[in-house]
Amino acid sequence: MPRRRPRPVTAEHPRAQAAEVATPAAPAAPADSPTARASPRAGLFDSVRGGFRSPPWTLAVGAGALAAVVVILLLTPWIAPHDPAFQELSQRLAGPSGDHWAGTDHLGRDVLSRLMYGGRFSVTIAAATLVLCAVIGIVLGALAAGRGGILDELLMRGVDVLTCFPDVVVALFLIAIFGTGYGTLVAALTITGWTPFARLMRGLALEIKSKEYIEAAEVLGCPRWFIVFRHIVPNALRPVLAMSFLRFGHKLITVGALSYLGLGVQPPDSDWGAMLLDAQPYMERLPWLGVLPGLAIFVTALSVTLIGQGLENRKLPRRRPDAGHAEPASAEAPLKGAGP
Amino acid sequence: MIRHRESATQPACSPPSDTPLLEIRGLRVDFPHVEGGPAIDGIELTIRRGEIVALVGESGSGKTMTALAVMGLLPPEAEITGGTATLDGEDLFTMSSTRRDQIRGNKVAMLFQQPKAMLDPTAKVGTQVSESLRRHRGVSRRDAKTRAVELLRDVGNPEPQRRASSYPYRLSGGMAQRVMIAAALSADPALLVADEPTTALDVTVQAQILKLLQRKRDELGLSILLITHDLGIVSSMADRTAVMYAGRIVEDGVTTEIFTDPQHPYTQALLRASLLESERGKLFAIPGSATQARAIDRGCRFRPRCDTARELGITETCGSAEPTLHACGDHDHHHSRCYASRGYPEVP
Amino acid sequence: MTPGPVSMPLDRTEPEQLVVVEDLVKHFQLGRGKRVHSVDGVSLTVRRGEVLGLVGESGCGKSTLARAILRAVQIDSGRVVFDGRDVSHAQGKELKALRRSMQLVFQDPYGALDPRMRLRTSLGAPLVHHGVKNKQDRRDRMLAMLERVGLDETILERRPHECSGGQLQRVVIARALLLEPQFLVCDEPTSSLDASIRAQILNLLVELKDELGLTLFLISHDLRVVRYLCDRVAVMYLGEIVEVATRDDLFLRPAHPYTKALIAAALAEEACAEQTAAQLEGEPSSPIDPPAGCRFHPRCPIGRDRDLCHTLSPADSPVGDEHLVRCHFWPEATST
Repeated sequence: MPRRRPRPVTAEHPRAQAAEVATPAAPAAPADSPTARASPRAGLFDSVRGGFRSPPWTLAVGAGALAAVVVILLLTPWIAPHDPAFQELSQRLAGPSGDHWAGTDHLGRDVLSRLMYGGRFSVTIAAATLVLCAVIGIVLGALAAGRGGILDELLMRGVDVLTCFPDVVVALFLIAIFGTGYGTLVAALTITGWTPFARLMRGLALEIKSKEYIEAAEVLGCPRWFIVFRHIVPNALRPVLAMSFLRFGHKLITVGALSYLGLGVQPPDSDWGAMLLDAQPYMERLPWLGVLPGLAIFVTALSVTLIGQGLENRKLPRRRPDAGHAEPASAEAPLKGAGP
Repeated sequence: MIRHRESATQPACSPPSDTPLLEIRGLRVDFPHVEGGPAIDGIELTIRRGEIVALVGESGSGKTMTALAVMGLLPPEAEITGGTATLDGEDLFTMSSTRRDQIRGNKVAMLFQQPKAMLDPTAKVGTQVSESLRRHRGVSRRDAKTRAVELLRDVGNPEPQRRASSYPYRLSGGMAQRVMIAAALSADPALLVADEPTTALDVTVQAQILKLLQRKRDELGLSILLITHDLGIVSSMADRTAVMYAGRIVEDGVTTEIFTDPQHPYTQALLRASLLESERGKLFAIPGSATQARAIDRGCRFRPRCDTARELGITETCGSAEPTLHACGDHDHHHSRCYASRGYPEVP
Repeated sequence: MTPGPVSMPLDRTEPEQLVVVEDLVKHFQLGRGKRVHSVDGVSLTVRRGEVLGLVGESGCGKSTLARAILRAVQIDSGRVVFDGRDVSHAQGKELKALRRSMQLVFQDPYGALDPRMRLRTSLGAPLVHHGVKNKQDRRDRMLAMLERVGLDETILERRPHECSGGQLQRVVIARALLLEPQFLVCDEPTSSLDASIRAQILNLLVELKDELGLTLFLISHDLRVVRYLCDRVAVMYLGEIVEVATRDDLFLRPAHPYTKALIAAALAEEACAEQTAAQLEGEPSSPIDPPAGCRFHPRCPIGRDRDLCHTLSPADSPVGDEHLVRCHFWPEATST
């Protein structure tokens, strides 16, 4: 028997609801239908030609690139060819050479070494801020969802207010008051940075709270803290993790932006943003002075984002296709858990 | 054993004609990247005009995949690795996607298990019901609207006009399924594939929906492929029944015969388990589970759970080669895939 | 509905009554002043050692009733008395202690277990929280219970998605029984399982009930299951109990028109001619705005056209021994 491939089914109908396919007359199968359950992954846009699904190499490429960056930055003190602060004035603004692979800047400092040492600052600050924001956001979001009531209201209104302020502006404001300094920098970035995490966590927590196994845990007498930290948080972790990866790029760029404005990392330390600032007057003559730090930010941010995308692609294993049929009549009862 | 109820209504049109509407031969569907054997491993199924054929099986039997294969709605991970399916002579697997779109809704329509999930919440009910009509028959919007109201009334909607101009969010499961039936039948298909159409509905509503489907068959000569795990509805609805286990058909035939004289041990066991028959104070249960059955590539797939094989002492034979689907007796309307069933040539 | 006076002072509760529910009311608030009348004045008793069944269709409130009895939700008014103690408003420690006595088996085993946890943890956690600190002790209890429900210890290392529905439902039952409760509520325990597995689980429940001396409260829409397992059956419609009787009485001599229709629809192949005729029209009304008078009147072949049914809510009428029905015209209903 010759192998027959099923004809690709077109998703022409503009009202394709979910999962696989839209047919002109018979509406599409929803994500929880046997169709979707049978496939290991049935995403919303899977059927759209060209899809929104990232290619399978996303995770590998992202992880590889990030690993390379991290290794270089970790080994910088040993592998950097020059002291980043050492000024060789006779060699100012020199092009790439055997001694200086990326040339020198306006003060004769080795660009490559400055890239490496600068990266340590940029990446560390961005990572630290990210972790702080994530932790604060997760805790507050979980609490709000868990407690509900006034706490929830207050938190959400707080989040709404803080979201209105662009983080760079807030950072500027705080730095204006408290002056520059790493503490202020991290604080400034964290103060608005936790809000998306809190929002996401709260949404996820609310959704998970309505699941049956949470009710089961309650009926079994499990204490509140157990339910929150052993049931809700672990099940919410995956999307939050994905968000963290995606936010990292943002943080990195913001740190760079602040440094570019002269308000981030202060001399004699410098990071990629500061390098951009330094390179600005020379952009016409020696564009790579600016391009290189920009590229560094871009590559690092991109690699982390790719990791986030790649992780999204791997879903929690679904129920096996042959396990159990769908819920019968009583499952229609809208009242189970319909309470506030 | 239950009494098979005589069909309460006599069909208004002629009994099922002999020309088959849908013919499936040797269908094989596999999930290449998932372990556990093919989902469908060579099945034959015929549906004639005006006939209701039930495909019965439990989870993992492959019955839903069969419906999806016929409709061309298999998930992207599934592959048809063999067999043919012809609808009115046309090969369903080799036709172009254009042609496929043409017949979907037009010649063959599908009913799903979760009717509420199938309706677009942002479109009015009337529009969705008449979609097929407008698409396949080029009917004008106004005419389609009238027709939609008619259809809604026909399927038992108390206020069809109001229903047609409202949105689906208020519909209960039963009402939604009626709307889906109206939509499915709007372009007058010859075949209706119903995948567990009443499983998610309350039992009193279930009865109404089944009655409706029967009425449509009588009025329009509609053929129905009824996919279900519930033997209760099969006995009152289907002319013929096929029982699937682990991707294969293990028994098929005229429904009355299957219920009064089941030949395959799985069918027998399923009947008893479904009706909660008890012996010695305990319910009759089929030991084990079907989940690993698809992976068995040698011998009968039901053997691990089969009491009959043990009693007759033929487990070895059953384990070495799978029985073929053989006629029980010299007529052609009851087949069984079991060495122990009537009419099987001598056990090898 | 109780086969006796409706209001029962605490000290007169008979010791054989394990659970007494009096006039339980539970509503849910939806926005804009609308309320869902999930449970609207339900009274019933469950005797020690019996299996009480509760049947009804979607939206009738049976799941909510179960959860109210288990005190998994707050009740609005009425009383729940367990083993002689009024637990209607139990909180904190008292509530936690109550958990050891009453447990719940869910409908969907895949939903009732945390998909990320190994079964070992899911089973062990309740033990830890109820004071079984010793790891070996826990393990011994878990293994003993697994054997009782017919599972191998290897299942402990698996996650829910690696098990079949039947296996998982046994795990859910095991988990509920690990705390050694007296009262087990089973909310559609077999509805999401295949027919062939269903019987296995039901057999298991019967065995366990006998072995452990449990009292069961079985909620199901499947009348066949109820008929097999239960000693007494209550029928619920739109937040009210409309009939309660012994199992045989209910199935052989149903008094309420709704009960008759349910039986006719559910046991179609075995239905005799008269019951087949009792087909219901329409759908259950919404519990947000239950009909005035008798809640069943819009669908009732008798009550549809009777003024009394439109205006007055019926009281409980005795039909026979331990058989109560809530209908104005039940003698007529029985004779059709």
